[in-house]
Amino acid sequence: MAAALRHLPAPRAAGGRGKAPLLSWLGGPGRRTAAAARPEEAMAANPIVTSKQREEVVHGVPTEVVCTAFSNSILVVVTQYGKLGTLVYVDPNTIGDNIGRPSLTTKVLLGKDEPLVHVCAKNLVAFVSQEAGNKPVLLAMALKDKTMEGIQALREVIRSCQVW
Amino acid sequence: KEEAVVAGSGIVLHDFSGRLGEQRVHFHAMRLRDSLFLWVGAAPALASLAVAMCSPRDGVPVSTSLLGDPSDTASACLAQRLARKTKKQIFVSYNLQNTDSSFTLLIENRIKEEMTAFPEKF
Repeated sequence: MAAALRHLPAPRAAGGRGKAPLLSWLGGPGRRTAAAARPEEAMAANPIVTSKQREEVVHGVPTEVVCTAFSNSILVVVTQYGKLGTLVYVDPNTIGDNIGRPSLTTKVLLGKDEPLVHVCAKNLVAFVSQEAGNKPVLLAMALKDKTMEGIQALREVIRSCQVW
Repeated sequence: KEEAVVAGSGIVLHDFSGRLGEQRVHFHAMRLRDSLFLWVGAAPALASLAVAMCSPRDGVPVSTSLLGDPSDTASACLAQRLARKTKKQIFVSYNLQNTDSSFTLLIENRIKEEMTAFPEKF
């Protein structure tokens, strides 16, 4: 997996929070009062939701990934057609299985509702839901390569767009 | 070098906001191939989703609710209106309490204003 990722380009600039005001705020105790207002100003200008975006060739297929963090869910777009494609809602059950992990239910909101879609969806974003503190994930996927290796590689691209 | 291979059709993200009525409303647009995803809200929650697209037979674009309360038609209505304007497939997530027609018209106008100013973002 590491070998596959080594040659990947750096993530493109995305709508994350600007670092400069925070750094200057941390700059020194003497400047604290003067700079304290700055992060708030920066927040006002920044988008209300955080997105990260990445374009990569995964196993020979041009792929785009966009992850957006909402307060109640995470939106993950994984596309090899440039479109949203199949929409799947991946929801962690509060009850969970007997070994402490919440089980995930997958519901196809739009597109072909077949077993492989559910399998791909769980494989791609189960870790996102878990790492985000068991938030539901709205997954939009349009995949040319649905092989196990392909899905695994895509998972790493999603990981590189961590917004949760 | 590899970026050049996949460049051109790239997904474009665009955030903007507006003070509409008493409220600051935020917009998050994602331009995809022949389609658009647009989130509208005052707080960063995604509670509703609908899709609309033009139908070759019908003058009014067809729409359906995908997520959230199906009786809440605000997302579907806005998606329909934007589909008619853009002729694209439109996904809308409308997350505001206020769904009065006069208010949603303000929302729609703010979106259209942004579409005119930044056509490459939609």
